[in-house]
Amino acid sequence: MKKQPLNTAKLGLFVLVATTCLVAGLYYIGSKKNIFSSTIKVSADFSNIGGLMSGNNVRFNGIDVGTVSQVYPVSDTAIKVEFTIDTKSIQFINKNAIVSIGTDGLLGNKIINISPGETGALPVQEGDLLKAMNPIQMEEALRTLVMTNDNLNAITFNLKGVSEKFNNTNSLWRLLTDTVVAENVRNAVVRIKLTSDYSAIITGDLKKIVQDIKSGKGTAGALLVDTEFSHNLNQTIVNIQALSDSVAIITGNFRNISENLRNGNGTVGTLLTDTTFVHDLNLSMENIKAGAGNFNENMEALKHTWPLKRYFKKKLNPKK
Amino acid sequence: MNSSVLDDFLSEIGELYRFMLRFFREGFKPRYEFAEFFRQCFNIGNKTLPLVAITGLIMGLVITIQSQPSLQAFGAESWLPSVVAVSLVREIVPVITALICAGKIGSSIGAELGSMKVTEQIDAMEVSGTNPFKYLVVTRVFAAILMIPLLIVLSDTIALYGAFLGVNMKQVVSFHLFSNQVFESLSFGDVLPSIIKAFFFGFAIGIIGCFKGFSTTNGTQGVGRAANSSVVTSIFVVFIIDLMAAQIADILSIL
Repeated sequence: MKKQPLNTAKLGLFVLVATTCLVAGLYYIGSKKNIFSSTIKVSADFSNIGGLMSGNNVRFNGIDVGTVSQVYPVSDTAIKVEFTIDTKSIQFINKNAIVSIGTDGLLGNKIINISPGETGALPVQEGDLLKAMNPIQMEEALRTLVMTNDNLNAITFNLKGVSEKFNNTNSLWRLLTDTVVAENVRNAVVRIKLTSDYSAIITGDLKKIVQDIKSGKGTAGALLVDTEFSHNLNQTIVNIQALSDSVAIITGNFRNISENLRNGNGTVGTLLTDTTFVHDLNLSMENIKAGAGNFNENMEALKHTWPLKRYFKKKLNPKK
Repeated sequence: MNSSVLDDFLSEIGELYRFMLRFFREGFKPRYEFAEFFRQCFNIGNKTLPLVAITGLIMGLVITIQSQPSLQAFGAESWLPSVVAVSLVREIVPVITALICAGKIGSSIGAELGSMKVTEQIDAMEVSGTNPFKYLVVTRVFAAILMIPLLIVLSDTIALYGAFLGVNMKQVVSFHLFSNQVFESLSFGDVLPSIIKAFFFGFAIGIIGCFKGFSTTNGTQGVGRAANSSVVTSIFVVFIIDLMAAQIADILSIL
């Protein structure tokens, strides 16, 4: 019985320590679930919540700011998710923040992620309905991925063919490695540059010329601008037309003549087309030639005969 | 023979039931034996604490070391604190602590009351005007009801520290991160059912020890048998209560 006060003190310590542990543990668990901090309740509508349930964490930019308090369907396509947000965080979360459902790690619990909207909106208030972004459907994503893979496969196959062709043909490599070609290309570029410089100058000149012409300077200017000149020109053109009409008539006559010639009408036509006549003419010419030969012979004989013989002798020897 | 064993069993259950009714009848009536109650609290609480503390530390350490390879197989070693904390707080620590208490407290109550019964001290008490049931049974049962939950809370704390040591054997995890992960994974639904069932464990251990001691017969031999059977019965009942608690928690979906 003497030890009673000491025992009671020890017992008190035991009870105190144990109770403190229990209370502290419960407090920490509660603080993790935001039970003791003041919160506001907001909500978002999703078409599919993928297994989210009450008690799951709510994160804003990765920080825990609250918990999901209730999940219930409101129509055949909408599930309302109500969740609490710690009052300490609401000043940073605007009314246009976007709510999405994610996963904590690869295998972890579902969580709600709040992403900040554009700046300028007011902070959230009790009972606000935030905009929801529906979770990525894994199946959908995989289906797209399969299609992308197929396309990639085809593309890489084509690329393979192209690169094989590159490897097998030397011409491209030669073109790529040929320094002369490169030098030529360089020179060509330099020339193109020069040419373009010149064309710029020429264009400038042309511009000036056009301006002069517009203002009526020089022949072309007069041509375009001077009305009297253009009237004269007009007259000239009319005269030229009359002339060409005459030419056309003359040409028609010529055509008639040449046709007559071809058909053998008239003297010249006969001359050109009648082969018998040509033969006769030939014959006559030969007769004339023969006649001229005979005449030459007669004349030679005449030189050596009296009374002309003396004259020719005198001509050969004038001293006699 | 068979029918007599069944008969004995059923009659013992009936007697235990009447004993419990008597406890509830007398336990809340005035003239409370506070001095004896505190002495029993000290006996049950403080004197069992070292045993419970060492067991808790070892359990935390062992469960962590044993869970590590299977979590490593999933590449989920970072989940070790969360997994271990939930299994320790929900199930392992309450049951192991209750079993230790059943062994230590149940046997001591059974042996003490049994020897008092066979040496007729209980009868003498009655003669001297003290209510032996109030003085011996009510104080011990209430002490067990109140102390075993506190023992379990302390054991939880120590087991979690053991888990922290166990986690740090293979990885480097700061105490801050560890406690964050532990309290992140725990919920009231994990802690409260285990505390509530601890009261029932305490009640079962106290009442069975007292009942076995009070119904001791056959002299000194009977004292040994009373101590033995109080331990065996209370361990068995602890498991039955644990099963019922798990079922009820599941039905109420306190997860």
